[in-house]
Formats: sequence, structure tokens, C-alpha cells
Amino acid sequence: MNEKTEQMPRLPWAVTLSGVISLGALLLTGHGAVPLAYVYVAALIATYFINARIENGSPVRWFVRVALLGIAYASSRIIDASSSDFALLQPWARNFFGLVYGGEMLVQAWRYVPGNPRAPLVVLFLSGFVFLTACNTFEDTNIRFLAPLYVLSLLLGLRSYNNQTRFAGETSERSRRATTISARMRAGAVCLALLSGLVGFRTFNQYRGDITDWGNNLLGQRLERFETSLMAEQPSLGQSFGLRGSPVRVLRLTGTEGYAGDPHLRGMSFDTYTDGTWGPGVRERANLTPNVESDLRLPTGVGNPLIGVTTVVQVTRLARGNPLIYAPLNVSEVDLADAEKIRWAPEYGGPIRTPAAPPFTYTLSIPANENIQGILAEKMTPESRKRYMDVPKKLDPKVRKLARSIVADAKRPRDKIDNVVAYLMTHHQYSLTIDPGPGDPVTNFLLSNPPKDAHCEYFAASAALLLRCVGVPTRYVTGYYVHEGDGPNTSIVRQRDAHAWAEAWVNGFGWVTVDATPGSGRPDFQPEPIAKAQAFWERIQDAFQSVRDWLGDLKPEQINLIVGSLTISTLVGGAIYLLIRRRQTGQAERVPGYDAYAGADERLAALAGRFEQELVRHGQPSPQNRTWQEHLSSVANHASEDQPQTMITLARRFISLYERARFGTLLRETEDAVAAMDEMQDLLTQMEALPADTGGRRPTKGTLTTAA
Amino acid sequence: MNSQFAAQVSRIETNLARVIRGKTESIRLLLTALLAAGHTLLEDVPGTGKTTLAKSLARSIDGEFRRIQFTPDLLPADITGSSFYSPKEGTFSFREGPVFANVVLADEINRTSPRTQSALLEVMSENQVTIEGRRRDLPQPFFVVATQNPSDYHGTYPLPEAQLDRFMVRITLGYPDMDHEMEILYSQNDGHPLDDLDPVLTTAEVLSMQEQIRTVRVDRAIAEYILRLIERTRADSRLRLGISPRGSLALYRMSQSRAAIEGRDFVLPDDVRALAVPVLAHRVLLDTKARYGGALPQTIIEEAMDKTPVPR
Repeated sequence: MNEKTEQMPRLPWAVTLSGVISLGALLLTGHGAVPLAYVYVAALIATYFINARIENGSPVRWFVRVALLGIAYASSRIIDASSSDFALLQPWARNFFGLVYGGEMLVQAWRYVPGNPRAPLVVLFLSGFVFLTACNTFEDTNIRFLAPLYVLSLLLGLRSYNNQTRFAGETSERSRRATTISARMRAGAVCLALLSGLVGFRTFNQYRGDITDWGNNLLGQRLERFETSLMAEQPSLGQSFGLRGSPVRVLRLTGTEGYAGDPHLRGMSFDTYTDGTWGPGVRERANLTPNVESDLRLPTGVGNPLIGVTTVVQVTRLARGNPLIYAPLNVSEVDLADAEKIRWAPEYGGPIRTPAAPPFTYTLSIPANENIQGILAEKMTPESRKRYMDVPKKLDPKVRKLARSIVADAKRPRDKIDNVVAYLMTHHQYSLTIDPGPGDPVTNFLLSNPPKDAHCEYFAASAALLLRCVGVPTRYVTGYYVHEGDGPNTSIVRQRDAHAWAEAWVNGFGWVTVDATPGSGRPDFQPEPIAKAQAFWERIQDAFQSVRDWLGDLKPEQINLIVGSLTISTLVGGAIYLLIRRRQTGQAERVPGYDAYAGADERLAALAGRFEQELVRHGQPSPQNRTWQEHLSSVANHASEDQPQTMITLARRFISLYERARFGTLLRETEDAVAAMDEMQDLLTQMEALPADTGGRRPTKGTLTTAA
Repeated sequence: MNSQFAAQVSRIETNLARVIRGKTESIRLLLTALLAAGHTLLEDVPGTGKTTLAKSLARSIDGEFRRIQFTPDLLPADITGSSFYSPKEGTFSFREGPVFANVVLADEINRTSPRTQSALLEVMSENQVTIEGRRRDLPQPFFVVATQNPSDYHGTYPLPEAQLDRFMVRITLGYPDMDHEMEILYSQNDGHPLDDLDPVLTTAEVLSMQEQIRTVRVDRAIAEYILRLIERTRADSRLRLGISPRGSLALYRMSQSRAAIEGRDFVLPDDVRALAVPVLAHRVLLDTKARYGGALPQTIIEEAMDKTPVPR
């Protein structure tokens, strides 16, 4: 049978179109930097003009595959722009995988499998892979136009596949009607797909930010951006403590003996108080000087013999949302080793801000002596003293009177501070909510009778204002209160540990922390422990993070090695699996519990077993759903010309004898039976003597041909 | 099978091939049905030689041949025959209808009313006619070849399932290929070859062949294979109607017939597989969803064959 002259099967045009569109998508998202894709398109279209195919089982196919793999790897490295789109793959990986799928699509399009109706389906499937790989970015506007086009061609391709498998001779009116109706249904489905695609795209586009956030959270930290971002805002005294939030982890402190210093980690400090709001706000602060980009390392007190022993604490910022660096008041050095530049206005007591994206780690050197004035405790100037002494003019005179009565005869600032703190702690109780009433909230709080309960912001603001009234410069500070251990040498700070307090200037000494909140209101007094689910989730996050850290430590070559070996092992494993599958097709189709030789003579069954083994040995296992004659006919049809026909001739003779014995009456005719048995034995022996011909053509399991 | 049988088969096949060109498989299938004593439904578009094939078969057998052109106004009595009064003799006498023949060609069977169609039912299944309470046996062999054109839809009455089931086999002819059509053109230049056809078999010979077919051996494994195939169609969720025991019997008998025609005295799984579609496809009824989903009876039978292991 000469197959060289026959018309080679061609893919339906819609299938080819799908392939071309998917490759086009690859070209567009690859910024036109994958020249190989142009070649693919040309080669795909060339199947229409060149009447030759790669024969099934031919080594050429594997040669082409491996070659394309190499070229794809090489050309996928050509990337002109690094894209910051949220995508599951790096741009080069996107190109590479797209080209690999595209190459396989090409191979399948050029492959010739006799009587295989599934070839277009395989090509369609692969085009889908190419398209999805190419579209693995949410930025590219080209996708908007390509996606409906691709879906359309996909549906048309599926339709032509369906038509192809239709039985050719059927022309009955009923089936024609069915075709018309199903054609209408298909047209409806196309419209529906286009519509839903459009709607889906619009919806997706609208919530793209959320989806990207969600993806980021899944990969990185779950974060309440809103909550943590409040920490960088101006505090405004309200009915409830706005900063006290969820158990989301914000900071992790690692150092000798955990964290032993001042538990108040300050983020921002404020000096002006107006109508329940502390300032200056972020915008005003941006105009304050100096506010330049500084080096990674802040001015240090290193070399200052007064500092003495310091504890070095590593702080890892886990949550996003606010750009602040948190440190205790007496910190002598802040070192953002791998973070980016920081912005800092030291005259205003912070805040230290960095645009670095968490998680990042910075180092704090904290003197063991809490009285050391660190880098955040800048010297008092007449100008700043004015700001720290500022009391609103509208403030009720009774507050000043109250302040004087609290301080009484204390002269030293330290005593004044102690008196004020003692007064606030004893006269008021802690409560997360307060109804401050109309007017200035602090005044209402201080002058209330009976005394109101309030949260830490009120205590901090009251302490600051009362102290200012009696001549002690103070400022209002927000930050976190460290108290929760997390394994050896580690402390954890959660959003619910947010706190507010005051800092006062003591002449001749410097800044001191003034926390006037009663003990039951401090963050370390936590009524509810961390939920188990939360703890579990944190462990998962940490595991993720450690993998990310490990990956981050890898060199690019190492990553290439890992990705490459994973890809290769997947490809090799898949190939081996497919090979095994194909080897086993004869066995795989066996119906469990079914005996093909039921009722057959034992000697015959033994012969049949030997015969089937021979077929397997010659690389032609017989599928269970066909007769040997059919199987052999298709083997003979697809055998190449140079393949020896001896095996087939022997097998034919064996089968004709066997069938007479099995289904006919040969075995009853004693003499003939003996002769036939001998002949069958002889034929099998001859077959077994033949060399195994594993390179033979394997007939595909396709439409059943009637044995001639 | 003995050599006489083979000679008879080859005689009639050659005879038919002289008229119907390039349709050896269809001819053989028709012959298989004749020898299996089953009726045949020829289904195809007009002009493909349905009637010619049926007529040539009738002429090749030395027996009575009648043709009934089914029209909308045909009545049951027009098929079976009726009594009429003879004024001369003063008695009722029975005039036999066209079914009293060895080969009956029921042309365009779907053009008549269901009432008339079902009159043919009894005739086909029982080989007898009951008129005015009296049973009349039909001549033997009795072979109905019905033709219908599936593409016309207006003014037709599609055959009910019960009636389709009574046809042992449904044959589609299809268009001839170019070479054969060329032969047809030239062969009909001087006259229709059908006119020159001589009978090559007597009715007695046909009957004896039908008897011989029953001696063909069907191994238990083969019978089991047939039943497994049938069972699978019954379990198929896409079918509203699976295949009846009449269907399995038909496949069994047809396989015997095919084996005999091929010169074997035993049935092979190949026989069953070759016959499954023509014998079974017209007996199944797809449910609406499958029909509009584009499924075809042929495909379902082929799938059943694909999924059923073959005995060895």
C-alpha cells in the first residue's frame, strides 16, 4: 500500500486559525521578542501547501521536538522589557512555555497518524495551552481583542472536529434536521460565549486591583492594609480606639533574650493638638525640613562611651500598609541593611519612613541603659520647645486649674510627670469605648464627673496636655507595645498591640516615656488569646516565607538549574509514562473479569496466549476490542514496504487454523485436529524465531474496519 | 458448506453484479438477508438503484415477483387481496393481493398510511395473511424488499419502530464511484441490463439454502459476544430503545448466513462485527438529547463494538 501519493490529512481551517491566534497572543505579550513564533505561524500554515507529513513513530518527530525545545529556550531569553504585571510566570518563562506548547502543536499538526480523527482536537488543545500561557498577564490590552477571537475560532474548530467524526454516509432527514438545530444551538453558544467573555472581562478588569491584592496576599502576607495604614495617619480622638485591630502580625523582633528593652516601639510623634486631633498630618509633614532621602544608616551614637552595652535586635516588618520604621525611644542605631532609602525629619521626632516593601528586616541597637538618649531623642531647641508647649487657646481654664491642682507643690519635672500619671491612672478607668460628648474630647474627659472611662489615646492626650499646662514639654506618640513572646529570643507584635502614649522632656536629662494608661488598658493585658486558626495560618505564612527567603537567596544560575531540571524531568517522566501507556494498550483495554478464551479448549487457549505474546513482542499488541484478523489487516496496511511480511504471513496462517479450531469443528475431526495442532505449534515456533520488530508501525485504535 | 452452495452463491452474485455495478457489499448483504430468510429495507436517496437491485434479485430467482408501489391512497386490501362477488357463479371468490409472491418489492413504503403499513406487518412476521377470518399461507420462500427515501419528508409516514424491527437488515446503497458510474452509463446504452437477466436459482434451491444456513455452527463464545453487544445497547443511556431479542436473533441468523456465503461452516466474531451496523442500527431509538447532540445510531453501535471484548 503506497501512502506516499495519497492526500495527506489537513487540519480544519478553524483549528489552524486557533493555533495562529494563540501564537499571535504569544507574540503580543512577548513584546514581539519571540521571533520563533513567526516561524511557527508560517510552519502551521504550510501544512496546507505541503503534502508531506512526519510519519508516526518516525525519529524525525523527536528530533524536531528536541530541536524546537532548545531553540525555544534560547529565544525565550530575548526579552526587551521587564514587565511588572502580576503574572504567574516571569516574562521569559511565559515565552518559553508558550514556545514549548507551540512547538508541540506544530509537531502534532505535521504528524501523520492513519485514521486518527483526534489530530485536530490535540492541536486545538495545545493551542489553548499556548493561549493561556500568553495571556498569563492582566495588563495587556491586546488580550481584550484576541480572547473573543480565539474563543470563536476554538468553537468553530470544535465544530469542524465534530463534523469530521460524523458518519459520512448518513443523509437521513432526521439527522439533517438535528444538524440544523444543533448548528443553531452552536451559534447560540458562540454568542453566549462572546457575551459572557465580554462580561467576564469587564468584571475582571474592574476588580483587577482586588484580584492582584488577593494574589499578593496569597503569596505573601495576609494584611489588613487599611488597619495598618491608620498607624501612619493623624490620630483623632474618637469614640473607640481606631488603631486597636486584628491579630495580624506586624513586626517580629529577634535578638538576644527576645526583646528586653522599653516595650514602647514608637512610630510617629505629634506636637500640635486641635479639637481632638494631633498634628502635623502626613501632608504638612512632607513640607517640613529637613526631609531628604538619607542613607540607610541613621546618625549613630556609636563611639559614645555613655551608651555602653547595647542589645542588637532584628526587626522584621511583616505587614504592609504603612511605611514607618518602629523603634524604641532610646535606640542608638537603626540599620536598614537591605531596605531602600529612608526619609526622616529628626527635629520632629520621626517618623522614619521607607518605601521598601515588606517583608524586610532592619536592625536596632538598643542600649541596655534605658536612660540613654537615643537618636530619636533629639535635643530641644527654643523653636521646638514652643511647639511642645503649645496648648490650644480654646482649652477650658478649668483644665489648667486641674493640672495645677494635680501637680500641687511638685517642682521637678519628674515629680510633675509622676503626679499626672498617678492622677490619670487612679481617677479614670480603661475602656475601649467612650462617649466624649460635644466639644473638646480631652477637656470633656478630664472634667467629667463622675470620671469617664476611656482608651489609651485619651490617657496619652490628657497626660500631654496636662503636662504642657504645668510647663513640661510633651509630645503625643503612637506605636506598638511589645509583650508577646514567639518562641526563644523572639517577640511578635500584632496590630492589636497598637498603643498611644506621651513623651515628656525632662530638663537636664532628655526625653522620657510617659504612659498614663492604666494597666488593664495596655496591650499586654489581652483578654483573648490568639485563635488556633490564626496561629495555624501564621505557621503556613512562615513556611511560605521561608521558602521565599530560600529562593531569594538563590543565585540566578541555581534557579535556572532547578527550573531546567524540573522541566526536563517532567518532560522525560511524561514521555516515559506515555511510552508505557502505549506499550500497554493491548493490556490496558482488558475488561476485568472477562475471559476471551472462555469455553475454549485448554491447548488452544495456551496456543492463543503464545500467539498474543508474539504480537506483543513484535510491537503489535492486539487490542481486546478487535479480532485478530482486523488487527492484522491494519498492521499489514500500515506496515512500511521494507518491513518483512513474514510475521504477518505466519500470523495469518495461524489465525485461520486457530479460528477453525476455536469456532469451527476442526477439533472434532481427530486426524485433522492433530495435524492442525502440530501446524499451529510449528507456526508459532517460526514466529518466535523471528527477530522482534519493535520499530513497526502501530495501528491506531480508530474506526473499525471490516475484515475483508 | 458444500461446493454446491458456493456455486449457487456465486451464480446469483454474478447475476446481480451484472446489473448493479460496484456495490458488491450491498449485494452480498442483500443475499445474506435472503438466505437468512429475513426482509430487507433499502434506504437511500432516489436514483441509487434500490428498485433495480430488488428487481434484479427477484428476476434471478425463478419465482413469483410482485411490486407494490406504495401511495397515500393504498388500502390494506390492496396489499393482501380481497373477496369479490362473481355474478356468473353467484359466489364470493378470493383474489390474491400482490403479497402472494416469492419476492415482494414494497416501493417507497413510507409513502403510504400507517394503516396500510401495518397490514404488511403481519405478512412480514408471520408469512401468512388473514382475510375475512381465513388464514392463507404465503408461498415459500417469501422475501420482502422495501425501499424508502429518507430525504423526502413531505407526505411521508415514517415507519413505526415496531415495523422497522421486522426488517432483518437495513442497507444503504450510496452513490457509485466514478468508474462504476461510467460503466452504468455505457451498459445502459442499448437497453437496460435488467431485461437480459435470467433466473439462476429456483425457489426450491433458495429454500434448501435457507435450511443449510441453520447448520452453520455458532460457538457459545460467539453467541455470548452477540448478547454482550446487545446488552450494551440496552444499557446505553443515550438510547430510548435498546435492541430487542428479535434483534439478537437476527444478528445470530445473519452471522450464520454470512459465514455460509463466505464458505465457512462456523461463525467468526468477524461476521458479527461486520453485520452489527446493518442489522442493528435501524432498531435503536435515540433519545431526543442524543439525537440533537448529533449522535447517530451507527456510531452508538460502533461504540458498543469498541467497548466489547472480542472472544478468541
